[in-house]
Amino acid sequence: MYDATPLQPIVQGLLTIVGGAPVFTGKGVSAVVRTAGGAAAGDFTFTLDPGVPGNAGEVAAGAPDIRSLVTVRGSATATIAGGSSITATGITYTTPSATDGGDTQFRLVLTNATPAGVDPSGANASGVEIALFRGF
Amino acid sequence: MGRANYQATPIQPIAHALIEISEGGAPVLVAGSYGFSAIARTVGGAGAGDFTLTLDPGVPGAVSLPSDIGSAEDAGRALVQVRGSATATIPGGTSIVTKNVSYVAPANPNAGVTQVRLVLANATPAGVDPSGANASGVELILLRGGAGNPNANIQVIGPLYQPVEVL
Repeated sequence: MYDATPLQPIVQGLLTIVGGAPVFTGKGVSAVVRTAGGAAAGDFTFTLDPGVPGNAGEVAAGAPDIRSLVTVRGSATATIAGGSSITATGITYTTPSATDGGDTQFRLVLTNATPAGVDPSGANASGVEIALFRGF
Repeated sequence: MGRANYQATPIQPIAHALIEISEGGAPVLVAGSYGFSAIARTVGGAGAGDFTLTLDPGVPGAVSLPSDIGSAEDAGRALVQVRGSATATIPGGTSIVTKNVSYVAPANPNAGVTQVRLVLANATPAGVDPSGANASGVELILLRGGAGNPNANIQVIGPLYQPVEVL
Protein backbone atom coordinates (compact mmCIF):
# COMPACT_ATOMS: atom_id res chain seq x y z
CA MET A 1 0.00 0.00 0.00
CA TYR A 2 1.22 3.47 -0.81
CA ASP A 3 0.18 6.97 -0.04
CA ALA A 4 -2.13 8.78 -2.46
CA THR A 5 -0.93 12.16 -3.70
CA PRO A 6 -3.37 14.47 -5.49
CA LEU A 7 -2.32 16.38 -8.59
CA GLN A 8 -4.40 19.30 -9.79
CA PRO A 9 -4.14 20.04 -13.53
CA ILE A 10 -4.00 23.79 -14.10
CA VAL A 11 -2.93 23.86 -17.78
CA GLN A 12 -3.57 21.52 -20.70
CA GLY A 13 -3.27 22.27 -24.38
CA LEU A 14 -1.45 22.07 -27.67
CA LEU A 15 1.19 24.52 -28.91
CA THR A 16 1.34 24.91 -32.68
CA ILE A 17 2.84 27.39 -35.12
CA VAL A 18 0.34 29.19 -37.34
CA GLY A 19 1.62 31.67 -39.90
CA GLY A 20 4.95 31.74 -38.09
CA ALA A 21 3.40 32.67 -34.75
CA PRO A 22 2.90 30.41 -31.71
CA VAL A 23 -0.69 29.47 -30.88
CA PHE A 24 -1.91 27.71 -27.75
CA THR A 25 -5.15 25.73 -28.02
CA GLY A 26 -6.39 24.54 -24.66
CA LYS A 27 -7.04 25.83 -21.18
CA GLY A 28 -5.08 27.55 -18.46
CA VAL A 29 -2.93 29.81 -20.67
CA SER A 30 -4.04 33.32 -21.56
CA ALA A 31 -1.19 34.17 -23.96
CA VAL A 32 1.88 32.71 -25.69
CA VAL A 33 4.66 34.67 -27.40
CA ARG A 34 8.21 34.09 -28.58
CA THR A 35 10.50 34.77 -25.64
CA ALA A 36 11.89 38.30 -25.74
CA GLY A 37 15.67 38.05 -26.02
CA GLY A 38 15.47 34.28 -26.43
CA ALA A 39 16.29 31.94 -29.28
CA ALA A 40 14.79 32.95 -32.61
CA ALA A 41 12.94 29.66 -32.85
CA GLY A 42 11.63 27.12 -30.36
CA ASP A 43 11.59 29.54 -27.41
CA PHE A 44 8.19 30.49 -26.04
CA THR A 45 6.80 32.27 -23.00
CA PHE A 46 3.33 31.37 -21.74
CA THR A 47 1.24 33.51 -19.41
CA LEU A 48 -0.91 31.57 -16.98
CA ASP A 49 -4.65 32.24 -16.93
CA PRO A 50 -5.59 33.37 -13.43
CA GLY A 51 -9.13 32.07 -13.91
CA VAL A 52 -11.40 32.33 -10.92
CA PRO A 53 -9.41 33.35 -7.84
CA GLY A 54 -8.89 30.52 -5.43
CA ASN A 55 -10.23 27.71 -7.59
CA ALA A 56 -7.01 25.82 -8.22
CA GLY A 57 -4.66 26.65 -5.44
CA GLU A 58 -1.54 28.67 -5.93
CA VAL A 59 1.82 28.67 -7.71
CA ALA A 60 4.64 29.71 -5.44
CA ALA A 61 7.64 31.67 -6.69
CA GLY A 62 10.00 29.22 -8.36
CA ALA A 63 7.12 26.77 -8.82
CA PRO A 64 8.45 24.11 -6.43
CA ASP A 65 5.07 22.36 -6.46
CA ILE A 66 4.44 22.36 -10.24
CA ARG A 67 4.91 19.22 -12.38
CA SER A 68 4.82 19.34 -16.17
CA LEU A 69 4.07 17.12 -19.14
CA VAL A 70 5.70 18.06 -22.44
CA THR A 71 5.24 15.66 -25.35
CA VAL A 72 6.19 16.46 -28.93
CA ARG A 73 3.74 15.33 -31.57
CA GLY A 74 5.43 13.56 -34.45
CA SER A 75 5.52 14.84 -38.02
CA ALA A 76 4.60 12.82 -41.08
CA THR A 77 7.44 14.56 -42.93
CA ALA A 78 10.16 13.98 -40.32
CA THR A 79 13.26 11.95 -41.26
CA ILE A 80 11.50 9.06 -39.58
CA ALA A 81 7.80 9.54 -40.37
CA GLY A 82 5.88 10.06 -37.16
CA GLY A 83 9.07 11.15 -35.39
CA SER A 84 10.64 14.52 -34.65
CA SER A 85 13.93 16.41 -34.81
CA ILE A 86 13.32 17.90 -31.36
CA THR A 87 15.63 16.11 -28.94
CA ALA A 88 15.35 18.30 -25.86
CA THR A 89 12.48 20.11 -24.15
CA GLY A 90 13.22 22.42 -21.27
CA ILE A 91 10.72 24.20 -19.04
CA THR A 92 11.36 27.01 -16.56
CA TYR A 93 9.16 29.30 -14.51
CA THR A 94 9.56 33.03 -14.67
CA THR A 95 8.26 36.43 -13.70
CA PRO A 96 6.95 36.45 -10.14
CA SER A 97 3.85 38.56 -9.77
CA ALA A 98 4.49 42.13 -8.66
CA THR A 99 1.43 41.97 -6.47
CA ASP A 100 1.83 38.74 -4.54
CA GLY A 101 5.16 37.17 -5.56
CA GLY A 102 3.73 34.06 -7.22
CA ASP A 103 4.80 32.89 -10.67
CA THR A 104 2.73 34.09 -13.61
CA GLN A 105 4.61 32.71 -16.63
CA PHE A 106 6.54 29.67 -17.81
CA ARG A 107 9.07 29.31 -20.60
CA LEU A 108 9.44 26.34 -22.95
CA VAL A 109 12.57 25.81 -25.06
CA LEU A 110 12.73 23.19 -27.81
CA THR A 111 16.04 22.24 -29.42
CA ASN A 112 17.40 19.76 -31.92
CA ALA A 113 20.61 17.72 -31.74
CA THR A 114 22.85 20.60 -32.87
CA PRO A 115 21.63 22.07 -30.42
CA ALA A 116 19.61 24.89 -31.94
CA GLY A 117 16.14 26.16 -31.16
CA VAL A 118 13.50 24.76 -33.51
CA ASP A 119 9.80 25.39 -33.88
CA PRO A 120 7.45 22.38 -33.55
CA SER A 121 6.21 22.64 -37.11
CA GLY A 122 6.87 21.26 -40.59
CA ALA A 123 9.33 18.38 -40.60
CA ASN A 124 10.38 19.13 -37.02
CA ALA A 125 7.09 18.23 -35.34
CA SER A 126 3.34 18.74 -35.40
CA GLY A 127 2.98 20.69 -32.21
CA VAL A 128 3.68 20.11 -28.55
CA GLU A 129 1.27 18.81 -25.94
CA ILE A 130 1.62 20.61 -22.62
CA ALA A 131 0.07 20.02 -19.22
CA LEU A 132 0.96 21.54 -15.87
CA PHE A 133 -0.08 20.00 -12.60
CA ARG A 134 0.11 21.40 -9.13
CA GLY A 135 1.12 18.84 -6.56
CA PHE A 136 -0.30 18.87 -3.06
CA MET B 1 6.17 34.28 0.18
CA GLY B 2 3.24 35.41 -1.92
CA ARG B 3 1.43 33.19 -4.34
CA ALA B 4 -0.82 33.49 -7.37
CA ASN B 5 -4.02 31.60 -8.04
CA TYR B 6 -4.65 29.77 -11.30
CA GLN B 7 -7.53 28.15 -13.07
CA ALA B 8 -8.29 24.45 -12.67
CA THR B 9 -8.59 22.39 -15.86
CA PRO B 10 -9.66 18.78 -15.39
CA ILE B 11 -7.73 16.04 -17.19
CA GLN B 12 -9.02 12.50 -17.52
CA PRO B 13 -6.62 9.54 -17.80
CA ILE B 14 -8.05 7.16 -20.39
CA ALA B 15 -5.22 4.69 -20.92
CA HIS B 16 -1.87 3.70 -19.49
CA ALA B 17 0.56 1.03 -20.54
CA LEU B 18 4.01 -0.44 -20.27
CA ILE B 19 5.23 -1.46 -23.71
CA GLU B 20 7.94 -4.07 -24.06
CA ILE B 21 9.36 -6.23 -26.84
CA SER B 22 8.82 -9.97 -26.49
CA GLU B 23 11.57 -12.55 -27.02
CA GLY B 24 10.01 -13.12 -30.42
CA GLY B 25 10.50 -9.46 -31.32
CA ALA B 26 6.87 -8.37 -31.11
CA PRO B 27 5.61 -5.36 -29.15
CA VAL B 28 3.45 -6.29 -26.18
CA LEU B 29 1.29 -4.52 -23.64
CA VAL B 30 2.51 -5.78 -20.29
CA ALA B 31 -0.14 -7.09 -17.90
CA GLY B 32 -1.43 -4.23 -15.80
CA SER B 33 -1.82 -1.96 -18.79
CA TYR B 34 -5.31 -0.55 -19.27
CA GLY B 35 -7.19 1.34 -21.96
CA PHE B 36 -5.45 -0.18 -24.97
CA SER B 37 -6.83 -3.28 -26.66
CA ALA B 38 -3.94 -3.96 -29.07
CA ILE B 39 -0.47 -2.94 -30.17
CA ALA B 40 1.27 -3.66 -33.48
CA ARG B 41 4.18 -2.37 -35.50
CA THR B 42 2.97 0.46 -37.72
CA VAL B 43 2.14 -0.76 -41.20
CA GLY B 44 4.41 1.06 -43.64
CA GLY B 45 6.35 2.66 -40.77
CA ALA B 46 9.94 2.36 -39.61
CA GLY B 47 11.06 -1.20 -39.12
CA ALA B 48 11.74 -0.64 -35.42
CA GLY B 49 10.45 1.73 -32.77
CA ASP B 50 7.23 2.50 -34.63
CA PHE B 51 4.05 1.22 -33.00
CA THR B 52 0.31 1.70 -33.40
CA LEU B 53 -1.83 1.24 -30.32
CA THR B 54 -5.59 0.71 -30.49
CA LEU B 55 -7.72 2.28 -27.78
CA ASP B 56 -10.17 0.14 -25.87
CA PRO B 57 -13.62 1.64 -26.54
CA GLY B 58 -14.77 0.67 -23.07
CA VAL B 59 -18.34 1.54 -22.14
CA PRO B 60 -20.13 3.60 -24.83
CA GLY B 61 -20.30 7.21 -23.83
CA ALA B 62 -17.61 6.92 -21.22
CA VAL B 63 -14.57 8.87 -22.45
CA SER B 64 -13.29 9.25 -26.00
CA LEU B 65 -10.96 11.39 -28.06
CA PRO B 66 -12.48 13.82 -30.57
CA SER B 67 -11.82 13.35 -34.27
CA ASP B 68 -10.65 16.95 -34.63
CA ILE B 69 -7.70 16.16 -32.46
CA GLY B 70 -5.30 18.61 -34.05
CA SER B 71 -7.16 21.64 -32.83
CA ALA B 72 -9.63 20.44 -30.21
CA GLU B 73 -9.08 21.84 -26.77
CA ASP B 74 -10.05 18.56 -25.18
CA ALA B 75 -7.79 16.38 -27.30
CA GLY B 76 -5.18 13.85 -26.25
CA ARG B 77 -2.29 14.65 -23.96
CA ALA B 78 0.34 11.94 -23.71
CA LEU B 79 3.11 11.25 -21.25
CA VAL B 80 5.90 9.02 -22.59
CA GLN B 81 8.75 7.86 -20.39
CA VAL B 82 11.49 5.42 -21.43
CA ARG B 83 12.69 2.88 -18.89
CA GLY B 84 16.46 2.67 -18.75
CA SER B 85 18.52 -0.38 -19.60
CA ALA B 86 21.19 -1.98 -17.40
CA THR B 87 23.21 -2.65 -20.55
CA ALA B 88 22.98 0.85 -22.04
CA THR B 89 26.18 2.83 -22.71
CA ILE B 90 25.42 4.49 -19.41
CA PRO B 91 23.79 1.73 -17.33
CA GLY B 92 20.28 2.74 -16.44
CA GLY B 93 20.16 5.12 -19.39
CA THR B 94 18.82 4.77 -22.90
CA SER B 95 19.77 5.41 -26.52
CA ILE B 96 16.29 6.72 -27.30
CA VAL B 97 16.43 10.50 -27.71
CA THR B 98 13.09 11.26 -29.33
CA LYS B 99 9.71 9.79 -28.45
CA ASN B 100 6.76 11.15 -30.37
CA VAL B 101 3.05 10.52 -30.48
CA SER B 102 0.52 11.23 -33.18
CA TYR B 103 -3.11 10.33 -33.55
CA VAL B 104 -4.32 8.20 -36.44
CA ALA B 105 -7.11 9.95 -38.32
CA PRO B 106 -10.30 7.86 -38.36
CA ALA B 107 -11.69 6.67 -41.69
CA ASN B 108 -14.95 8.40 -40.82
CA PRO B 109 -14.21 12.08 -40.10
CA ASN B 110 -17.16 12.20 -37.74
CA ALA B 111 -15.87 9.33 -35.65
CA GLY B 112 -13.52 9.64 -32.72
CA VAL B 113 -9.82 8.80 -32.81
CA THR B 114 -9.23 5.14 -31.98
CA GLN B 115 -5.50 4.71 -32.54
CA VAL B 116 -2.31 6.32 -31.31
CA ARG B 117 1.08 6.06 -33.02
CA LEU B 118 4.29 6.05 -31.00
CA VAL B 119 7.69 6.53 -32.68
CA LEU B 120 10.99 6.05 -30.83
CA ALA B 121 14.32 7.04 -32.41
CA ASN B 122 17.99 7.30 -31.48
CA ALA B 123 20.44 10.09 -32.26
CA THR B 124 21.19 8.85 -35.79
CA PRO B 125 18.12 9.24 -36.18
CA ALA B 126 16.86 5.71 -36.67
CA GLY B 127 13.86 3.95 -35.22
CA VAL B 128 14.81 1.71 -32.30
CA ASP B 129 12.86 -0.74 -30.18
CA PRO B 130 12.80 -0.16 -26.40
CA SER B 131 14.66 -3.38 -25.65
CA GLY B 132 18.16 -4.72 -25.05
CA ALA B 133 20.76 -1.99 -24.65
CA ASN B 134 18.33 0.63 -25.98
CA ALA B 135 15.82 0.54 -23.14
CA SER B 136 13.72 -1.72 -20.94
CA GLY B 137 10.31 -0.68 -22.18
CA VAL B 138 8.29 2.51 -22.43
CA GLU B 139 5.67 3.86 -20.09
CA LEU B 140 2.74 5.60 -21.79
CA ILE B 141 -0.11 7.50 -20.18
CA LEU B 142 -2.83 8.94 -22.38
CA LEU B 143 -5.00 11.70 -20.96
CA ARG B 144 -7.93 13.59 -22.34
CA GLY B 145 -7.79 17.31 -21.71
CA GLY B 146 -10.84 19.41 -20.90
CA ALA B 147 -12.60 16.40 -19.45
CA GLY B 148 -14.96 18.30 -17.20
CA ASN B 149 -16.05 21.63 -15.86
CA PRO B 150 -13.00 23.93 -16.12
CA ASN B 151 -14.16 25.97 -13.18
CA ALA B 152 -14.65 23.04 -10.84
CA ASN B 153 -12.41 22.99 -7.81
CA ILE B 154 -11.89 19.24 -8.03
CA GLN B 155 -9.06 16.78 -8.42
CA VAL B 156 -9.88 14.55 -11.38
CA ILE B 157 -7.77 11.45 -10.94
CA GLY B 158 -9.97 8.43 -11.56
CA PRO B 159 -12.83 7.59 -13.96
CA LEU B 160 -15.44 10.26 -14.47
CA TYR B 161 -18.12 7.61 -14.81
CA GLN B 162 -17.98 5.13 -12.00
CA PRO B 163 -19.35 1.61 -12.53
CA VAL B 164 -22.71 0.91 -10.95
CA GLU B 165 -22.93 -2.09 -8.71
CA VAL B 166 -25.91 -4.30 -9.60
CA LEU B 167 -27.28 -6.13 -6.58
